[in-house]
Amino acid sequence: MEIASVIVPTRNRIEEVRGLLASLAQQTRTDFEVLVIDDGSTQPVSPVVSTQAWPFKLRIKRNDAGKGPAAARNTGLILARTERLLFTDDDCRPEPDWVARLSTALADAPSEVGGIGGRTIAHGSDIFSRYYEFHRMLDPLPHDRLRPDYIPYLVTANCAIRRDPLLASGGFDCRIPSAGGEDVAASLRLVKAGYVLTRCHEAIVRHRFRPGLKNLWRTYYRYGLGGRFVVDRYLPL
Amino acid sequence: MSWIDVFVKEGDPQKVYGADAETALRKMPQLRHLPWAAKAYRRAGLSWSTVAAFLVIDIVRSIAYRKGFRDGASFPWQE
Repeated sequence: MEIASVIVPTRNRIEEVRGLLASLAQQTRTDFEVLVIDDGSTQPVSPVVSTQAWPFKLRIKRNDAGKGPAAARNTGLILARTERLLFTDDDCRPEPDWVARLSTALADAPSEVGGIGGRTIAHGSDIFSRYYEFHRMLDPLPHDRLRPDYIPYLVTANCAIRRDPLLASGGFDCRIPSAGGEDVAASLRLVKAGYVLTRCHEAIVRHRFRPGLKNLWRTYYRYGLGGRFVVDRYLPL
Repeated sequence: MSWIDVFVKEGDPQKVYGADAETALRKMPQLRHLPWAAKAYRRAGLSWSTVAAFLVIDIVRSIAYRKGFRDGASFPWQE
């Protein structure tokens, strides 16, 4: 029986997926499953990566029409065979003890903990990676000085969430069609359902931030769009 | 640090709820904050060339996020 399900949405980034799977193959544990949700890639992911032998159980599900990362993660949520869901992205490279640390942290956490965020650091050394790293861009700040391990939201580049609470709270909001805000929305659903979110700083993922001002613009424009959706739909009392 | 941190960094998690778009825009980093950002970068030991690059990134990031945030009000979300 696997200890955790790693869920990875992807679209048209086969080489990135291959790189992520290679990182996951280096994990200290191998008793986990990886669910790659191919969100309508032009060249299907399955024939490329499923011919290779992996130390973990690899399952690939394809959504023929690209429905966005939120819908893809929900597909993974439904298909997962374990209670501990680990989320990361195809442009991330987890450290070798990532699966062990996050799944153990979630197993040991009290039942009020719905999810745990790991620490996401920049993979490169270019100026953009240094900027993301300086600002700890994908590292949520604790919101309560008395409980410094509690965080207000999770980032799907690096987090673990209990399956049943996530299912019961509605999972990821598919109305958000692109990456940006869907993880915050899912976190707010969990918090509203009474769960708390904590962090495990030892569970590290290296994120490959795309360099260039054009990529930065696109990323933050998308984050702004998703942010507005969350503010309008989730934040009003 | 992401956008939602502006609501919670003051220590009250309940501030996440009850905020509106205008409050969010008001609390987001503004271009007039750049001198303070430059000072913080220098205090952290960054070189002048890195500070200059970071400030350019700050400007692009801020404008892009605000534009996305404003456009989000009329974006055709699939309800």
